[in-house]
Amino acid sequence: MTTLDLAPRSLASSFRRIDALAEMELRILWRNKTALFIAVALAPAMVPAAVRVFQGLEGGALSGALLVSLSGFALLFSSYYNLTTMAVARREERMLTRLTAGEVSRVELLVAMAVPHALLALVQVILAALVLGLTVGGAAWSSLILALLAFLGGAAVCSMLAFAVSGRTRSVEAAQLTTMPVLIGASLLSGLIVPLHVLPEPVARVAELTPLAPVVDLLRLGIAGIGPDGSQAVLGAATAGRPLLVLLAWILVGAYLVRRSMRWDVRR
Amino acid sequence: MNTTSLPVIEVTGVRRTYRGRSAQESFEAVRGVELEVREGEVFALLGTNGAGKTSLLEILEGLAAPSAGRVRVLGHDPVAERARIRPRTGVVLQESAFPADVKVAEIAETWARTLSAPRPVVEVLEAVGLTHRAKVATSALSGGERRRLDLALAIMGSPELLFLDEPTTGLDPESRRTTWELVRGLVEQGTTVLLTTHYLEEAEQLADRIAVMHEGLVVREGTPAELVAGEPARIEFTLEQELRLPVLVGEHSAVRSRGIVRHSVVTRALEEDLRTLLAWAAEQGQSLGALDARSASLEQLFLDVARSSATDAPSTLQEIPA
Repeated sequence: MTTLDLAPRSLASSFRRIDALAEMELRILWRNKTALFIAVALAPAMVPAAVRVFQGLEGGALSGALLVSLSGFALLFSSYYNLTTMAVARREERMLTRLTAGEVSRVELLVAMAVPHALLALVQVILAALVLGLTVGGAAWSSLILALLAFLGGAAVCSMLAFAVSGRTRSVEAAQLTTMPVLIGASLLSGLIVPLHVLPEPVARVAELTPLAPVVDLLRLGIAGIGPDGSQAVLGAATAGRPLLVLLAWILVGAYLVRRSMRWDVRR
Repeated sequence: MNTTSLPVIEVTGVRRTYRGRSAQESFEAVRGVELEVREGEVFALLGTNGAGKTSLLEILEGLAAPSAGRVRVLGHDPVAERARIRPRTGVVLQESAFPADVKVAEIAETWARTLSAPRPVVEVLEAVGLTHRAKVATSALSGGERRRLDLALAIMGSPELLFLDEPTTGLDPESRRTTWELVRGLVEQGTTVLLTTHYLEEAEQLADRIAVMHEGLVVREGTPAELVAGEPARIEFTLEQELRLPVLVGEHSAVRSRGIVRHSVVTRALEEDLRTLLAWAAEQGQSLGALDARSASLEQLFLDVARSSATDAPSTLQEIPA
């Protein structure tokens, strides 16, 4: 048959499909005022909750701490909360089924849904970095690459958790509840609101292993040049190795959870 | 229809079980189906709600894997080799919506960009009669318009094989006819169509061949004429008094109620029995009240199949001659 001559999916065609769907998703996000408000207003509004982290800081050090906070909350509200809701909505209107019955692969569809939310979070942080740099003072930016890596890794973990949770969420309204455990757990135990080194030792040990903790550690290291113990740190395997491993582990766990829990069609 | 043409869909011994928490809760929606759909034909899966049509269709569309059996669509496994099949098929799902805040043209253009060889969006919207609605949000579309947009997306990749799951359910008669015309147009261009429906008229109007599904099995299969040919005709009438009828070829039964006698004859010799009856009535000076003589119809067959409901007794269903 003629199909045997067809080349397997090329990277270019894969990119074309992801681009098309991500653009539509971004358009939907832009027109959904509730989701947009949550993404753009809620993350900055949560930053003052981390006041303990900022105590005694000023200038560039304060800028760095604020940016780490904003990054964490932006990822949680955009790449986790909003994405869960959107994935449930797309599934319930059977857009996911329709798309997977077409030429789009499941992985392409997941990437296309995740990218706009991560992008919106990233743009927020970049804008905040510019504004803070001009007003409060420039952050240390000890490693821009590590900061970017941490942000992307965080976006990946949050997105995968969002897809997994969407599979356990029956309706868009129910997402307000089902997203709570991760939202609260991850923000309390990640060092976003309370630095982990001030927690009792056993709690801190466990907290280090929660999904957002390595992201916050790495962001703090890359943006502010501050180590997990709250002091100035040199970038190296000693400081970045452990959180990188935990982050990598969460990416693998996330992928497993998506495979296990993501639902592509309505329950009937 | 050219019977020597290639099979586009081959289904052998396909089963689909929905797993419950316990063995009792498990439910077998498709219980061993054999089918062959040939190139260029319109094949209808006809059945009542819950007959297993959609469960089977999802397997053919590659949206679900069968619990047992073998499926080949365009020569490939629809799940394992989906990437090879998808550019050549189009799917209209049974019930579906669109993201509310997106306009018709935006959805269509996005969809086109996911296809390897899309037809121009303008042309496809024109074909389904949605050109004037292109700038409208999908949430503002009527049920029929949404169904047409669905169809537009399904045909945009010029599919060789089109799956339509109850394409006209919920549509008004005019939209239904428009859809039929569209499907006929595609078939003329060589598209093979597999559709499910519970509308007999739709199957009769469109299908070259029909498989009647009941409780997870294909219980009858053939062209509309073949299906009906195996079925007896019916004669019904009432008489105001009890009389002995003449000898008939068919099977006769009578029910008395409120002073009249309702007679019913199930026969494979409609013309002969009718002639005998009319001659007898004339001779006796009797009038056959509410006389109704009908050739076998798809409707009758469908009702007979639906009535043959015997839950969890597939053997009795298999005994029905195909």
